[in-house]
Amino acid sequence: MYSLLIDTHDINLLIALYKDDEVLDKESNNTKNHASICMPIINDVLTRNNLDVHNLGELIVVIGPGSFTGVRIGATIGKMLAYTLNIPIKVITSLDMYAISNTSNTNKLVLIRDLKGSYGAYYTSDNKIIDNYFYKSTEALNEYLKDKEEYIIDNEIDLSKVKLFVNNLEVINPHKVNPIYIKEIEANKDGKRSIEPRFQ
Amino acid sequence: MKDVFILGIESSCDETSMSIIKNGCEEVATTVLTQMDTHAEYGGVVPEIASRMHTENITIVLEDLLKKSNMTIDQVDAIAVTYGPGLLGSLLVGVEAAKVLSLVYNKPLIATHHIAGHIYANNLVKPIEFPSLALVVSGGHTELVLMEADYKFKVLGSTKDDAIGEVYDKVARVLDLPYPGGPNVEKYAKQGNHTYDLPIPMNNKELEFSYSGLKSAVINIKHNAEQRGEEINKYDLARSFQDVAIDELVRKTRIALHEYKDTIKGVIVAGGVSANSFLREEMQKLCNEENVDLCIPPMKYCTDNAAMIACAAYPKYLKGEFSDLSLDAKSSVELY
Repeated sequence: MYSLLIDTHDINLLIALYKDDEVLDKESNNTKNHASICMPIINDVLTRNNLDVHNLGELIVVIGPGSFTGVRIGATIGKMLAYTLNIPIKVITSLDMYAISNTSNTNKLVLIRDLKGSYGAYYTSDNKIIDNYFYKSTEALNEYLKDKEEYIIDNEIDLSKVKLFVNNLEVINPHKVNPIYIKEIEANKDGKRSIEPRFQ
Repeated sequence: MKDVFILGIESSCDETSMSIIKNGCEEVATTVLTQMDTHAEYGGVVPEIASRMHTENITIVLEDLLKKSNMTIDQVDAIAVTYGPGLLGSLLVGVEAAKVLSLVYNKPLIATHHIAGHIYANNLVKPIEFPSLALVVSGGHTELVLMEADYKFKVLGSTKDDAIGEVYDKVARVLDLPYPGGPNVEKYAKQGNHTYDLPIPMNNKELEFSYSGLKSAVINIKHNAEQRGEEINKYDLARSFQDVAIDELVRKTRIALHEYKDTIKGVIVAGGVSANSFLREEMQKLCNEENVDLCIPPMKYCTDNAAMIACAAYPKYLKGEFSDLSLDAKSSVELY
C-alpha cells in the first residue's frame, strides 16, 4: 500500500511517499511558498514514481503546531484528498513527530521556536508525554527551561519511525481532520467559540 | 452543444460556499455556510478565526453540495475558485481545495476574480448584453465600468478614497450598530428621516466617487453632539447618510448613461452593496426614467456565494483559460 505524508508545519515543506513501511521517495522545499508548491510537489513525487493520487491507500498529515497558514494548507489538502479518494487519513502532531524520531534514552524536550517564543512538549525516553503541549513566550520559556535545558532535542524527522508510529494510530474522519494551533489569538484567548457557522 | 457544468468554490471572507452551475447561468445547487454570527461577537470579521472555520468546514460544505445537487464531481467539467481579492488565509483554503478536486478528478482549474463573480451573478437572472454599464459596489469597490464583452472592462470612474461598503461599515461603528454594519445602517435608515445636513461628495460632472468627506461629516456630527452632551438620533443620521451616499451612486450612473446612451444595452449592479434595497429601488427608478434595462441579482446572489464564481468562470472555460496546481491566492488583485 502507498501512503503519502504531508508536512507543512515548518518553513521546510516535506512530502514523503511510502510503500508499506518503506520510504519510497521524498521531497522537501524551503522556499516558504507552501500554497503554491505543495500540490505540484505532491503530484511530482507521485508522477516520478509512475503513480497518481488514485494509487494512494492512506494519507498522513502533520497537523501542527507550527505556521498557522502552513498547517491549514496541509490539513485542507489532506482532508480533501482523503474525502474525495475515500481513503483512510491519520494525523500526527509536529511535536510528537520530532519526539519519536529521536532515540535519546533520557527525557526529551521538543521545542518549535518562532519569533516570540516556542511551542513545546516534554516526553519520557519512550515518548510518553509528561506535560501537555504548550506555547510559551520567550520569557516564560527561559523560566521553564531552568531545569530542563539538557533535554532539548534536535528537530529531526526519521520518516521510518514516523510511519511505524502512525501505523498504531486511529483513522480519523476527514471532516474532523483539523490543525492544532496551541497558540490562541488575541481576539479569542480561550480558543472556544460560542457560535458555530450555519448553513444559509 | 454539450452542457457545461462548473463547480465553484468561494471562501474569500466569512462564507464557505460551493455551487454547481450549468452553462454559466443555471443553478443546479449551491451551499453557503456562513460564519457571520460568530464574527458578530467581535464586531467584525476576525481573519484568523475565518481561516480556521473554512478549514474545519470545507469537506462538510462539499458533502452538502453533492447531496443537494445529486451529482458527482466526475460529472462536472471544471473547478472554479475565487483566488482574490479577499482575506489571504481564507482564500487559501478554497484555492487548495479546488486544486485537490482538479487533480483527483482530472478537471481544468479556473482562477476567478471575486468581483467578476459579483458581476457575472447577473447571468443567473438573464444574459448580460454587451455593452453594459456596470455599477460595482462593495466593501472594496465603487466603480462605474463599461463592459464591452466578456472580461472586457473599461473603468469610467472609481472612488478616489473609501469604497461605499467600507463607509457603510464605518458609519455603523460610529452609530454603535452591530456587525454586519451595512445591513444595519440600512435597517436604521428605514426608520429615520433626512434631518442632518451632509455634504454632497464630488458635486460635479466627473464619474469619480469620493466618500471620505461624507464619512468625516458623519463622524463630526457624532463627535460634536458628544461634546455638547447631546444624543444623536441614530435613525435620522443613518437615513441622512444613506440618502446622500446612494444618491451619489445614482447621480453618477445617470451621467454615465447620458454619455454612453446610444451604445449601452443595459445597466447591471454588482457587489455586496447591491443587496441594499434603497439602492435597488433608486436604480430601478433611474433606469425607468432613462428607459434602459436594469439587472440586479436576487438578494441571495448579492452576498458572497460560489454560484457567481462558477458563472464568472464559464467564459474562461469556453476560452480555455485554465490555471495549474501552482495557483496561489492573492489578497489584492485588479480585475480591470
